[in-house]
Amino acid sequence: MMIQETRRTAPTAATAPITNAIAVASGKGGVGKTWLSITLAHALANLGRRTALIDGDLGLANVDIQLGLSPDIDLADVLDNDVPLAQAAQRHQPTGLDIIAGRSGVASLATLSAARLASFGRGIADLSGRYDRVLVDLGAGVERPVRYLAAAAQRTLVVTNDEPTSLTDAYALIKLLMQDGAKTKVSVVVNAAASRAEGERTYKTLAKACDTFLKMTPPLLGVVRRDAKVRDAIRAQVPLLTRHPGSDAARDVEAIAQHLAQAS
Amino acid sequence: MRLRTFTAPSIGEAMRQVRTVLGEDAVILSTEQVGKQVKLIAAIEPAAPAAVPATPPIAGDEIETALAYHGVPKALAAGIITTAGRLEGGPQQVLTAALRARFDFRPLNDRRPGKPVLLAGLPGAGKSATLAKLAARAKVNGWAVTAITCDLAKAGAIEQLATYAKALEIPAFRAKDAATLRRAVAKAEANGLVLIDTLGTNPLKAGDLAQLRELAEAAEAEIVLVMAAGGDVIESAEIAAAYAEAGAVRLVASKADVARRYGGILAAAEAGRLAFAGLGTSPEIASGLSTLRADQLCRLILPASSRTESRAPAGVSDNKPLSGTA
Repeated sequence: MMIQETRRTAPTAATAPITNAIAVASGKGGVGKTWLSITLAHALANLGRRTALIDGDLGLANVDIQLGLSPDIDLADVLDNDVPLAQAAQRHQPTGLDIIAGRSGVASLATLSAARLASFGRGIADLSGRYDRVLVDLGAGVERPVRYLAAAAQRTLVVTNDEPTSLTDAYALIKLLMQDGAKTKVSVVVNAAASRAEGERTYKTLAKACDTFLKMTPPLLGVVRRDAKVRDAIRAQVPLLTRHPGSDAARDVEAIAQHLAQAS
Repeated sequence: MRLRTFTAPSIGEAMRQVRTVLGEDAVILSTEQVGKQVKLIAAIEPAAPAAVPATPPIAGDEIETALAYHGVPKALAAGIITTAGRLEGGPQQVLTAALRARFDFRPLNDRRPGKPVLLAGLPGAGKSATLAKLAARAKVNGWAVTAITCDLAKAGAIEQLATYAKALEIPAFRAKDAATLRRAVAKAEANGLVLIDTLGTNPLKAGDLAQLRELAEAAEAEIVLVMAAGGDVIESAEIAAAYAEAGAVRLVASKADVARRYGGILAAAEAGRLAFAGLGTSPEIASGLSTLRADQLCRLILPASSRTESRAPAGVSDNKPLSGTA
């Protein structure tokens, strides 16, 4: 039974993506991907959805750091010692999230062998059966493993800001996912926008590029406004929704979570 | 995608900057008034190779490197690489197939004697040696062979032919012009092979090539260009084109044993639409001429152990001599 289950959900670009799995990717690093993953997962948990967050950014994992966790088992144990992904899940009481922490300084996702990557994908598929939503915070970059995991998820959120490098890398990621024939639903989140209007302008720039060069337009999932309270929460290692509920950024992320909680 | 932000006092000025920096194909992604300035984001999408392939085409890389090493002209190399890129298999396999698709391979005397063969080429290209090698191979096959030289100008040409002819026990003649050549060919044994050596021609002189054509017509012979491998690529292409103009349809690449880069003969075959007829692999008369088929040409360009060994013509030594293929 388990074998059949695994086979059915084996994540390749050609097969159906894993229901409930949401990949968060950006191409470029430093656009707020990890912070957005945590806050989105937290907002989903607040909406009553059983939510797990996997820190897939193996080389520079920092979900645990942002949340002030000290995990006993992390993703490195899962990948190196075949510990089931579910065993590595650690309940974070303040948010109600189950966290599978990464480990900074170990080999990055980019260097995973194809076999381990496939095994990781199967692990996510198994895990997704236990939760309403599984968020995977992917590392920066557009390498094969990042695309493989993005393709495996039902949805991929491509996070960008208004910097040209960020837009270029977001575009590159979308383009490569298209070329791979990935069936994941790609949508765009603009982070750290000066205003909603500015965020929409940034989205339109990316959308125009996709439309012109790729003949497809990924929808805008949401704009998260730049907010000094985000920085404050990260420094305090406390989730934004706990420390500054009702802040601009918190409300923006909650709006995205609403959408993800309802969308199948 | 290459994306750039431009700021200028007017949209027109910003657009001019876009065209200058990104070219005519640039697409404007957004425009925005920022104070008194116009901010414009534009992008171009470079042609297909910009895409990062998930698995780099190793075979393609290796072939590309090898063709560049041999100095194969860019357009020809691009054509070969494109063809190879559509095929599956190892570098040797796909390059062989791509060469077979691109060039003709028609070895001389493959089955039985055909039309008289008139060897033409630059002075010193190896025509006389090629004649001797062809004669030797024909003798092994048991064919009747007649050798004729029209190369009366070169000191010792007759003596050289006589020496070969004596060693191979074949009749040898000399012909001073088209009429004499016609008579010499008429005297040759029916169903045998007639090999004609010519004076080294200067392809830059229309008179030389016209004379060559005249001799070929008199003998009803096929002109085979003998060209030293390892020559300058552009020079080889131009020479081949000139001889093709005079009627040459096949090419023997001589002196391959003293060459390391084969871009010249590829360029020659391409420019003159010449079929590869043979490969001179050593000064040995008995065994110094190989067939040159696609796989053998591939081995010249891409030696099996190309990564570790020197680029000496590794393919040469294991080519079968012509006599072994009958």
